[in-house]
Amino acid sequence: MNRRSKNSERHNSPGEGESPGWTANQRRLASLAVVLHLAAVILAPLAFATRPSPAIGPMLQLAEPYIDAAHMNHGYAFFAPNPPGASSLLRYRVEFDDGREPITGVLPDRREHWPRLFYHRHFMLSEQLSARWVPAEQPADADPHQWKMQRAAYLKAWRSFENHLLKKHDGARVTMEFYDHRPPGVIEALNGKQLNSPDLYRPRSDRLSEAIP
Amino acid sequence: MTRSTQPTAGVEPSWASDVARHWNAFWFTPRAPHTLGVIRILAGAMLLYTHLVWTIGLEDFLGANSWLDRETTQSLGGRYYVWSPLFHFDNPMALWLYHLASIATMFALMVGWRTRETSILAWLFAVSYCHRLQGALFGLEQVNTMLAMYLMLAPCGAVYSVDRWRAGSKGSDKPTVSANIATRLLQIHMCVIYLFGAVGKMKGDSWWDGSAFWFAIANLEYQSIDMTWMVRFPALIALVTHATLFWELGYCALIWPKRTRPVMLASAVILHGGIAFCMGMITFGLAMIFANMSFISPATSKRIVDRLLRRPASQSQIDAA
Repeated sequence: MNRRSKNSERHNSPGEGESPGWTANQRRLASLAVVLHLAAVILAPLAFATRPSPAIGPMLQLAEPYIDAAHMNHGYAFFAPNPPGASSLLRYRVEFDDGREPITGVLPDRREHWPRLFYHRHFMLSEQLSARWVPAEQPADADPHQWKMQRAAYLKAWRSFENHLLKKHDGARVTMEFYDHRPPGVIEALNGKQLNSPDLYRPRSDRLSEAIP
Repeated sequence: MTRSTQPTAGVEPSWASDVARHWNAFWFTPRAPHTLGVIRILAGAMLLYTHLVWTIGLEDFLGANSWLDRETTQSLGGRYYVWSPLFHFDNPMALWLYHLASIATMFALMVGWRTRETSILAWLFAVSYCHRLQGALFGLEQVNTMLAMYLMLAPCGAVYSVDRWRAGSKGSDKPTVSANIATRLLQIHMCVIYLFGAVGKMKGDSWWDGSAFWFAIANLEYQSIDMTWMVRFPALIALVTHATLFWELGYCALIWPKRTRPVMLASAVILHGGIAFCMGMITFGLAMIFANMSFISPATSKRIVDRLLRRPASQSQIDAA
């Protein structure tokens, strides 16, 4: 066996010699990076699906800086566990002290928000603010500390919306109200109910006792 | 079996060496850049469009008095590892300059000008917007940033680009390992997306009782084409519901074999085309189709582009790769 074939045998362990281009060490380093990256890619939705479980939580904590910094913290639960039931529409009214007519609007509004992606941004604003909604009354089964924190976060976001409307229109007062717009059920649709039927829209009360019929 | 996965003649491979050989063949077999070149153009165009649309409401979404102001955005969710220069701009002029730079970068990525640098910058810009814009995002950003991330790992400007045009005969479209790694990562990421998409749906009743599709098409705020006539065909609604769930569940297995891949890709176009055109999420639907293109071989991409450009098909290294 000549020197060249000996070297080749030493540097190319079984299975490592067939990939041209990169040296064995480069491949090992890249393999490590690939494994760590893919672990992070899987951990994010796994944590979302398991909420996270005691097994996944500690691993997530380790990977969280990378997952967050690279914007990979997603559950990929598109239309899951069920498609959205009711859409959340945010209606607002800005009033003025100088005699101007009040300005009213709704998020989202197809006539005002165009193109479609811009409309969808406004739809997501109302949907995601709504997703943070925590009732003003503490639910009986809620952890008081958690409820307080979540309620405070929701109100902070709510006030940010109010502040935006006031500053944008130079208004004196603003009122905002959520409306839930539910799609008709199959039987209702078969009976002729339209998607925009007025009885499918319902204002949402901030009080738990009124929010849940 | 490709040549690189064949065991050395006369040597009985151990299980470990067999795994190592397949691992190397999967990750480190050089791949031509043609598919990534096409994805770069399409993803670059989507990133460019996404950022152009932010222009309409730049100060409403990113200004000092935006819908969700900086302090609120940073406090929501209690996440500590988000970063973005957009948290630090008090001056509208600085915001606009940053935004114009991001648009120029996305354009440069799309046309493939100084692609090595612009692909990295495009990912940084895209992520910086996502971190600042929590509360107004949806699936589109998840796909946009994923595509940008993997494009920056590969020589995606080696073909169909200004870089290639400027390089002239010195340019090279030879297969590279980095193009393969980027493609493999994108392919596996897609499998993860669909797998967890299915896992999430399996927790919901409506995906089992067959009504999920109805509630998707009967939502007026999403709707862009009225498909509610389907209510007269409940079996069809249930069939589409179940097919969507099982297609997502099976994607990570059935996208790899050559025999089932065309069916899975055609189904992806139908599913995401439906989302794009019936449910008002054209951008998201298209972005998912672009990401699915990672499963198209470079040779096929080249053939299609040659045909579109009416160029005579040329034999190159990609057919062997």
